[in-house]
Order: sequence, then structure tokens, then C-alpha cells
Amino acid sequence: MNISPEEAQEALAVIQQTSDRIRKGHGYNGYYLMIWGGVWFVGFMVNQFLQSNLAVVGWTWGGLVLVAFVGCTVLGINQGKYIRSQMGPRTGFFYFALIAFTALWYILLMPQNTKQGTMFFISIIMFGGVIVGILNRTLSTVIGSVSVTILALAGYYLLPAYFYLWEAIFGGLAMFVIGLALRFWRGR
Amino acid sequence: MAQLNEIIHQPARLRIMSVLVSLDSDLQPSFNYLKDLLELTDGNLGAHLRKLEEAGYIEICKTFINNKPHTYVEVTSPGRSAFAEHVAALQDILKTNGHRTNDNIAEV
Repeated sequence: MNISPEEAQEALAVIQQTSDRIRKGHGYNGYYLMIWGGVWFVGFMVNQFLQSNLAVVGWTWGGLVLVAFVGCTVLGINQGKYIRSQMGPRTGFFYFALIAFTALWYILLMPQNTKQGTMFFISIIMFGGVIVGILNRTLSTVIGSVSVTILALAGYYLLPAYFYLWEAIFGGLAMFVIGLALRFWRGR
Repeated sequence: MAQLNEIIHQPARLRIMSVLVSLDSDLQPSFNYLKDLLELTDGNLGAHLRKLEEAGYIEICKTFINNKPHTYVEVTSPGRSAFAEHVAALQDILKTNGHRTNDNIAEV
């Protein structure tokens, strides 16, 4: 088979355009980040400003996490009609198990106060992010999870009085904005 | 020297393979997703997919979701290698003729 350099260039341009379109359009992960970013933002804001009312804080977090899990499941099913992921459902089950075990460890270890307990949850969920990133071979997930952990530690040790507000902004809002960027600025 | 691949070089099949190798290895696009993305008809896409499947470059998986049939497509390991070799052959043609190439395509 012989083709001219012009034909070869044209074929390479088609390949480049198609792969660029796929990489830009495949921003579904952005929705997941937006959901969990929103949960963190609202949850930590409630933590910061209503921390004296533990019942409200507990029910808010319970409701938010439930809504987020339902949202992610619906999103995953909808996404599956277009692109099926072998890792997607496994990742969902992994996080579900991780959160369930983290709740168990929380009960067993009984952190000294809610801030320590929050840092405990954040570090384990981000550890999950590192594991998922390694298994999925997505460096951005590993870097993102490590960055959230470092930022959370900075807020925990340097600004304990504003730790929840710090997490709402540098954890929740940051995740939401990154999700928005993934989905729409790079989107189709 | 890398060899051009006649099966892959056909324009529609070149675009199909470009889509498949650009996605992460655990992802399988549906027939309808490919049809909309590449603006092909059912018959046209089906024929090209069969050709690629016969060559062993892709696998077609049929399943049911909510009692509705869904078809998913996955590139095979020989398919990835054949595509990479075809891209390398295209780049060789340009290099030997003094054209500039985008080497990033080789990483697709």
C-alpha cells in the first residue's frame, strides 16, 4: 500500500482531531467532583457555623452523603449508556466499603474531638483517592488527593478555629471548580 | 520500517480506531455513542466494525440494560499495536519526505 505525503498528513490530522475531541469531550469525572465538592462545601459550612449543634451537623452530613451516593449512581448508570467503564462500578463499591470501614474505625478509635475526627475521615478518603488513582493509572487523581490532604493538614494545624471554613473553601469549593473545569471548560 | 495498514487506513475505520485507542483501556464506547460522534449511519458503522472485528482489532460486546440491547466496542491488544504501527508508518512517510510531524500522535 502506497500513499502520498499529503495523504499521510491528512490521515494524521484526522487521528489528532479525533483523539483531541475524545479527550476534551470525555469529562464525565467532572460531574463526580462537582457533586462531592458541593457536599464538602455545604457540609463543612454547616460544621463551621453550627458546630455547637451536633445533631444538625450529623443529619446534614448523613443526608448529603446519601444524596451524593444516589447522584453518583444515577450518573454512572446514565454514563454507561454511552461509555461503559469496567473500573467505574468497582470504584463506587470501593468508596462505599471505605466509608463504611472508616465509620467503623471512627467508632472504635473515638477521636478526641470532631476536628480530629474530620481530619481522620478526610485523610482516609484521600488515601482511597491515591489508591484509585494508582489502580486507574490517573496521576491527576493521585496528585489531587495528596494536595487535598496537605491543604487539610495545613488548615488543621495552622488555623484550627477556621478549619471547617478552610475545608469548605480549599476542599469543597476547589473540588467543585475543578469539576466544573473538567466538564465544561474542556467539555464538548 | 513500520507498514501501513490497509484495513485501518480507510477514513471511517481510521476515525473509529482513533476513538477507541484514545479512551482509557477500561472504557468501552457504545455503538450509539460512536454513531453520533462519528456521524455515521447504523449500517455504515456496523459494516466497518465487522471489518475491524474480523481483523481481530476490536471486540464487540452485546448486553442488555433494562431489557434493551446495547452494543459496546473495545479495542484489542493487536488492534492497539496495529494502529500504533499504522501511525508510525504515516509519520515515516512524512519524515522521509521532509515534512514536520506531530510525534504526540505516536502516544495515542
